Amino acid sequence: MAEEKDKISAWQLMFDDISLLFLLGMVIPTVLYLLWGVMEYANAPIATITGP
Amino acid sequence: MSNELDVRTCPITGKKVFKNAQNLIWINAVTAVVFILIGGIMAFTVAMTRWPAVHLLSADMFYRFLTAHGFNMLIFWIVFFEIAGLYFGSAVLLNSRLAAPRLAWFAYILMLVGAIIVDIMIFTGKATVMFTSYVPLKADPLYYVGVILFAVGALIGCAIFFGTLAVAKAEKTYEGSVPLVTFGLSAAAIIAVWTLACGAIIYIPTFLWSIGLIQNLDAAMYRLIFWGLGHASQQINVTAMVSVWYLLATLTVGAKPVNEKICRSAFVLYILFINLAPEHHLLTDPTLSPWHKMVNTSYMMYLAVLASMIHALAIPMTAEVAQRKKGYTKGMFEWLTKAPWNEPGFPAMIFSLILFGFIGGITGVTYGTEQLSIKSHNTWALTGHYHGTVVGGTTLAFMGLTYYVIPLIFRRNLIGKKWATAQVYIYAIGITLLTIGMGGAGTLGSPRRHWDVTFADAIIPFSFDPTVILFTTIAAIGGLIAVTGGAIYVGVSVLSVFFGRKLAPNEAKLL
Amino acid sequence: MSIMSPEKYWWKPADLQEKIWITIAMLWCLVLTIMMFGWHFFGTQNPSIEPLKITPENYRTVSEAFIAKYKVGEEAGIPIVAPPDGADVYLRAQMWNWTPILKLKKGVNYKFHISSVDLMHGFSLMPIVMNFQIVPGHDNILNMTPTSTGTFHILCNEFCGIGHHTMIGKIIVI
Repeated sequence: MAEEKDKISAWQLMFDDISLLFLLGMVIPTVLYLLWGVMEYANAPIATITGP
Repeated sequence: MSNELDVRTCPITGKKVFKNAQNLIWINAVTAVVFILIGGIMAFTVAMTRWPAVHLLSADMFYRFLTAHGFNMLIFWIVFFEIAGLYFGSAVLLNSRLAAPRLAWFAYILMLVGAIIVDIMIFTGKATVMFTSYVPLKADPLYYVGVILFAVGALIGCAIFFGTLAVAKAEKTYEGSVPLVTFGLSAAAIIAVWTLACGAIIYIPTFLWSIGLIQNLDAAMYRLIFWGLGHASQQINVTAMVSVWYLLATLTVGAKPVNEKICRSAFVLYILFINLAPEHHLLTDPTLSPWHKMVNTSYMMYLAVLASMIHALAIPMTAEVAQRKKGYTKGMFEWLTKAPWNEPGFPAMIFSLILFGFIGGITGVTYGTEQLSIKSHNTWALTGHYHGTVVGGTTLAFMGLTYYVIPLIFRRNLIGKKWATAQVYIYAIGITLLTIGMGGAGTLGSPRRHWDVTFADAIIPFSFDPTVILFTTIAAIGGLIAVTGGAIYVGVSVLSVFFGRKLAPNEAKLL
Repeated sequence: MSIMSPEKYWWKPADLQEKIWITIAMLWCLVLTIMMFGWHFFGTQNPSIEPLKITPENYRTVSEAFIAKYKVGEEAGIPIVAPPDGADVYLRAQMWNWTPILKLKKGVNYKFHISSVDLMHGFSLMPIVMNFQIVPGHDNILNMTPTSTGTFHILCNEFCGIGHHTMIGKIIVI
């Protein structure tokens, strides 16, 4: 492919970088699912109902 | 242990195969088959108990065996097979030595010991807690120890996979980017690390609670973190299964990815978003806010679903392009009708794709909305959903792959190719009936994990619409057919691995 | 071959067919996403949206007081309770029954507080098939209005020990 630039696309380089993908794959579910969820449970009010 | 430098060249693919990697693939794959055998026997007893006409086991045994069925199938069979797959995808496909073979053996032993402890606890009735082991239902502390050992072993396996990628890159055993299958397996391994980390985060405190060192565990928080293991482990399966589809397309019709960018982008979407899916279990839970539920269940705008849609196009497309190149160009579908339907790999790939997508995927996306979850949560329809994804999808794909791994890696001639091929069809029919039965009964309200849907012992009398029993019967018959297919799988693979003719070093025979 | 390294420059534009497929799929994903929020805000039939934790001991006390106050009878050893219109209703999940049996009125809104005093349970209202996870330590608060009369049953669809399959409750709507 002669007309193709002799520079590899930045996307291709990013996709080849497993450690970057690894980092994103850890951070996104940890923040959106785990931390957010744990915070909601931890901060939920506790009932002090005594009768109906 | 074999010499680190002991190596052969594969006559079919031209890849360099290191002996120690080969041995580790062998042991992990063979162990996986042992666990599918245990899980399969359990499947038979469970299906025969749910079927009111047979009602095989006592309640105690049923719940015990159901726990064993879940754990052996969902975790042991699949994770052992995946570890074998990870070593294959890194060492073999990249022409590399395995990063740390001794550590890999240690990881294997940890996993095996963990699995054996868990099974002993379950079968002796000390851990009748189901796959989910929701607190405050307490199992024997050793059960949690077993799970932790297994998870740590699997985590080390993932680390060895990443280590091998690094070794291969440093030693320049390949040029440019890694092959697509290896890329897909990297995605699976990344997902696995998060999954197993969730397992550690929840099972370590649960163990401490079981021996009395911690007094209170929030049951809802347990569910949140547990499903980070329980559901996300099935996302490893999805990702590994898609990689296996690409692999099977290559092995059966010589397919080449049409557009690497598209396929890899889809895997990246899995890495980024698929691990939000555990939320699907929490939709009808108290306390958790609707925002957490909606953002997570939509996997950030269904981007992981988009990824599956992309694979659903890309995989048949690669097969079609490859077939057309071979000259099967008549009409729209000659490429499909002239495909190798008489060998196990191709039908396994196609049926796996259809069962995963049309039964597992569609039910998953619909049940995974806040309101429809109210209609389906904890019903048998859910069980139908994941028997579509993880049994019809992952297990069927892995079964198909096994028949190629036997000559490729284990260098044995497959005994009973016809049986192997028939097995794929039988299994697919069985799972289709099973999932339809479960889905139908579940939609009418039949609960999952239930010993007696006729409610003979209940204090307040209740009985279902007879249609429920009809669907249950369909599921049980489907289960029987699938178990038969599974038994043929175990038979063919065990016979071939141990008694198949040894292939000569230069013999380029696949099937 | 998907088992070989790709060519050096593989980041290439997609074909027209691929673009069409992906665009359609992406649009459909957007529709699903919008609908997911739409159902919640405009459909209004949602699972619990009020966060509340309650200790099992506290919940038991409240639920006992509720039963004592409005009890009208008994069936199979389980109290039958008829709460007044619009009252807070306490439905206790425990091994292995749903206490009490409720007598409700059609067209009246009740605020349900469902929780467990021992293990995890699954509320499954039959025959209309509505399911909620009942978690000890948390109050599953649901605003429900019966829209038809008759007898409804509550199954348990979360494993809760050896008697799980016998756990059935009842709601009578008049």
